[in-house]
Amino acid sequence: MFSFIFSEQFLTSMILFATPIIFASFGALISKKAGTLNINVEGSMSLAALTGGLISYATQSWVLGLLSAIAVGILMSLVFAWFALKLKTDSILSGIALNTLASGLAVYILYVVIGVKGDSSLHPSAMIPDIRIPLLADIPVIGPALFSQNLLVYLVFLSAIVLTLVLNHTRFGMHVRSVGYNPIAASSVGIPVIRTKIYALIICGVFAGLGGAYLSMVYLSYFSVGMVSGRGFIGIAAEAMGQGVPLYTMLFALFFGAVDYFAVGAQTVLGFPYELLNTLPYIMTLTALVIYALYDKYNLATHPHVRWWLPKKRKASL
Amino acid sequence: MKNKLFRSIHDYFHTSRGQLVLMDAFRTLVALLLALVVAFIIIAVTSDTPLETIKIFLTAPFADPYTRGMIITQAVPLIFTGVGVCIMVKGGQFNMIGEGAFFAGAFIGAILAVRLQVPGLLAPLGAMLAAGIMMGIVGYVPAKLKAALNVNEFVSSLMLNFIIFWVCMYLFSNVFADPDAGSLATAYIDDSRRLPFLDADNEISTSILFALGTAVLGWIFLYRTKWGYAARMTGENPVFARYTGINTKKSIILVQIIGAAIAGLGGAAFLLGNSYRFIWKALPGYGFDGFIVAIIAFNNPLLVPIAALLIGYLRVGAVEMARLSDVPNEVVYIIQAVIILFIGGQAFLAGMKRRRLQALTSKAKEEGGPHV
Amino acid sequence: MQTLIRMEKIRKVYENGFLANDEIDFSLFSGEIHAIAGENGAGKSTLMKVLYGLERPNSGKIFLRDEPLILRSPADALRHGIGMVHQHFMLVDELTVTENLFLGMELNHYGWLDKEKMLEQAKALGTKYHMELDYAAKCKNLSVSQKQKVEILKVLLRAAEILIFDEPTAVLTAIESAELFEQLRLLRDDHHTIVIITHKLQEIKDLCDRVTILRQGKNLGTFKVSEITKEEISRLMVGFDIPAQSATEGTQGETVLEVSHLTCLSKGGKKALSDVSLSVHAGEIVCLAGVEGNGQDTTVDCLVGWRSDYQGTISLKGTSLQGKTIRAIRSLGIGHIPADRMTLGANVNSSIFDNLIALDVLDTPKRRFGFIERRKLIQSAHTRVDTYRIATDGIHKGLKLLSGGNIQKVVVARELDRQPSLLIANQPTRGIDVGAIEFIYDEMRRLRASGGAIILISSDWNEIFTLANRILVFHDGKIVAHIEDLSKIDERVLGRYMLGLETMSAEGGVPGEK
Repeated sequence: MFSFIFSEQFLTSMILFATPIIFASFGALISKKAGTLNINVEGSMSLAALTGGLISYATQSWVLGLLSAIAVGILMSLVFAWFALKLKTDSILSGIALNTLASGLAVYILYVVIGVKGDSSLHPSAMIPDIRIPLLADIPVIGPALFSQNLLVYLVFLSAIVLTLVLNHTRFGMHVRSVGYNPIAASSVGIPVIRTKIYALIICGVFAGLGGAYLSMVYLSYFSVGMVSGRGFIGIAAEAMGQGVPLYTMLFALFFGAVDYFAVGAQTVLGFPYELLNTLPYIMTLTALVIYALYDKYNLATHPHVRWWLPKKRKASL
Repeated sequence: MKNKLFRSIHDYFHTSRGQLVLMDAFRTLVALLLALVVAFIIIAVTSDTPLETIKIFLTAPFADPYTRGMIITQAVPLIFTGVGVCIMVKGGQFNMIGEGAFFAGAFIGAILAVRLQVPGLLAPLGAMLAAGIMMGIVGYVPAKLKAALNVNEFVSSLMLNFIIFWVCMYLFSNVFADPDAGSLATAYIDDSRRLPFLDADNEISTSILFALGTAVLGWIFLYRTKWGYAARMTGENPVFARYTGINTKKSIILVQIIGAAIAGLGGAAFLLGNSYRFIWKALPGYGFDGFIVAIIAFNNPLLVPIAALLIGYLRVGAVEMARLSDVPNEVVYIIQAVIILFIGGQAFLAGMKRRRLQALTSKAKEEGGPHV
Repeated sequence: MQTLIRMEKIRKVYENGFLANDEIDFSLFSGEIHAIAGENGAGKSTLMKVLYGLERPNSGKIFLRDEPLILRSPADALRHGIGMVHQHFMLVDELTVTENLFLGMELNHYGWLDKEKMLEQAKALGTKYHMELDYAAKCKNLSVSQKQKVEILKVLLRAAEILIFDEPTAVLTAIESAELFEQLRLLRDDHHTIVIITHKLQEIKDLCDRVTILRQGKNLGTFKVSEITKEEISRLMVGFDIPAQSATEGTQGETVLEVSHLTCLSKGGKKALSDVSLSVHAGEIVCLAGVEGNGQDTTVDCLVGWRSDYQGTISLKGTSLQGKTIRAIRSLGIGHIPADRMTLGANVNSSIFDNLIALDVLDTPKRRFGFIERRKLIQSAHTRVDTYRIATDGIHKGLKLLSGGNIQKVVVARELDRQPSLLIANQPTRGIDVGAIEFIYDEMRRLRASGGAIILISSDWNEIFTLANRILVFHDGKIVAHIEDLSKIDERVLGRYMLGLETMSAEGGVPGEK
């Protein structure tokens, strides 16, 4: 089993499996930073996957497919924004409802356009290309995993960096954070709270779109009903544990991706039962949530053994 | 006699409480109409014969006894999960466990009904009870996590749903599958070990009676017992609840256990009422639908059957429409989602509601005592 | 001196019918430090919120240098140079001091933050106004007085000429307050005009040039601080001289509540209560007096079981209360009318019935298997509505349909009707209309007459002298005075106790000078 885990294939596959989760978690992250967690990431990814797959098939252009997926992601976010912010439907309720809507709509549109209800495998998408970076990809073990991946994988790593920079070094990022932490204070200095939230949700939509496109144009070559299978929610869980830091969030999402791949791989390689392996990602998520809650409750950050590992906090002088 | 009835109805709606009820009913109606409009637009865009299709959608459910029976059958699971959601939401918890609990409940029901060594009708009843109890125990997990560690019950229950699903599927494929059946299914359940039909031709089962009974019991729990009172206060104002001495932690746990148990019971009842084997290979979605039903029913268990029948009607309409025309039935999910979104929107028609409320408040103050 | 701000006939009525400002005229000279004094609820905050654009008055005008002003929001006010330092800070804790200072007006190149420049400017600003801060620290790590400095700098950065402070020393220690006063004097010398909302007499005397006194929404006059004594200010704030004779009905019966050496910590680690001991007897009303926030509320929290992390003992008729659940404490016979009636004392999302019988439901006897005794409860509710004259035409209506005063009555009815052995009434008549106030007093006197014990917490001296048999003055978590004979009280001394300038000696009776 250990050789299975530490193989080159595992690393590559882990990233492969984790990418949609990472996109989802970034979507959750930016929306949570702005104070309105968008649970609709799951449904948005589904519709985005459908759109990307179909459009890329129709136009035989992966660029158009990708762009249309992103557009759909943004659209769904705007719909969510309208209901959660304007009509003030409870954001969790809106998220649930829109997820139902999106799944229903996805099946509906699939049927209407293709005439099939299961998947679009007969109309394969134009795939998003892999990119191999010549020299770096030859490094053993990590080479192929990090430098011979799909375009979207590079994009997801780039996103982590961009997200960190935007949140911490731009005016927009500061507005988003202040709106999320203390909207009253933010509006007292003139920051347009709702408008900022909408911008953040649009970015969330972009990530959902990318995640969806990945599923139907990289991971598989077609759209299949239910292909998101909870990844949106796992992304939300990863975000909860990443404590709002894009890098940590990505690490947790990678971890979930690893568990996901382990579940699949362990079945073929090690012969564990398929169904039980499928529970692993969810068990891991649940365990992680519990650990996180315990950490919070007992304030383990102040426990001497744990404190050693954490970055030093700056105390205000004077 | 009739005049007296009308008079009292008229008077009720002229009280302030009646007015608010009227406002809410109006909002619900508008939301429903908006949802239908959205659906009609979608149908119009995708169907070759839109008007014909819409007509089928709206009228087919009433067309013959069989489709009418389908409405009732469709409503059964929705009533169960709807009541479960009512109780949980009234208690302030957004717990999704109904989905997994219903699925597992059906599974447990199908297996135990065959294997329980008890005579006749006791088998399905025992299976239902067992399903309810087992799912209640499962429901304890997210509940305890929320009460003790403040773990968000939405995410934890969602994860648990998937875990339950896969565990059941494992047991289904590897332990309880019937080797004689053509495709994946559990053992055949003899009629004597199932819930009897009320109307076998139209597949209306006694499960509807259990469903209605659950709705009534749910209402009694919330409004006539002290635990229900504690649950409602905890959900509406947890600080106040604590101040009066209510044990809010216990309340939070109790409502989630009950919600899961009802869903489990419902799953078993539904399966044992209408099927001969358990054949589901995916989560059926009744748990999530419970939210729609609860919302239309204003979280009042007694109104849940009405809401369930409404959604059942829409569902049957969609299925018939899919059968008889070129529009797939997923339209109904879109309708459902739109309904929730608008009804849940507190700002939706809120201006109208607020003005009404203000008018009522000032009226009450005038009629009130000697105040500034 | 030039009149900078003139407010004419400002009238503000809140949505629940409460008249906060009653045709108030107010004027502010440029370059002065002006105090707005009054008891809680007198209308001070409201008037300044109107000046700062947070509230729109129902009628009245504002003039800045004789130019009329319409202020729709704080942004408007800032544009005209009016800034407010809030009592509850408007800071984003997760951001640094510098970020909070520049929030909404960040220095940037096409969106990219220029952090060095902002830090530089922040430091320069701080130096100019003599405020030492760690500008790179996150606001959540700052002490309260440091946070206040950030709020002040925020307002100065936006070039505010007029600075309004809302109870600035409420959260500061004595040393920090002195520091603040120094800053304010410097600001005044630098041509800023300062308004301070306060009810602390000593502060007014130490710092301010003029004082405007408000009571019950009316302006009683503006005076030069040098020409008025603290006693006169107090008299105007309160309403009349402390009466020579006060309510002394009620005889001391047996001891109902015994509190010994109660000590407990506040969130910041400070001692909220230090070694507090008191006892309450049947048939008396004991008032926990003093400026709000000096330990009275914390004592209540410990008594009702809201917190159990204290040292010392609390016993009700001999039974210790520590570690007991709120429910258990309630069933021992403690009633609690909380200060925050709308959120804590009542559930506005529910019906009048649900609110009235909240305590009785939990007492449903075991033999009922959980089913409530509905008929009995409905009857109780109706009786309460009649007895307490709650103005409604149906007990199943929503509570929020009632007027504020009636909601209070519901809370009072629920707590009093069960004839508690000990009633804790925390600011029982704050924000209530006149009609209900006398009623509540009568009910409390009735409870006392029938042998109940009452703890009253109030900052309304009328109320205290109308009701209390004994007064315990709290300051900084300790009891500094125990007044048993209300007729012999000296107003001047009372004030000194409340300000913590004096402590009654252990024998009680003869006050000692600090």
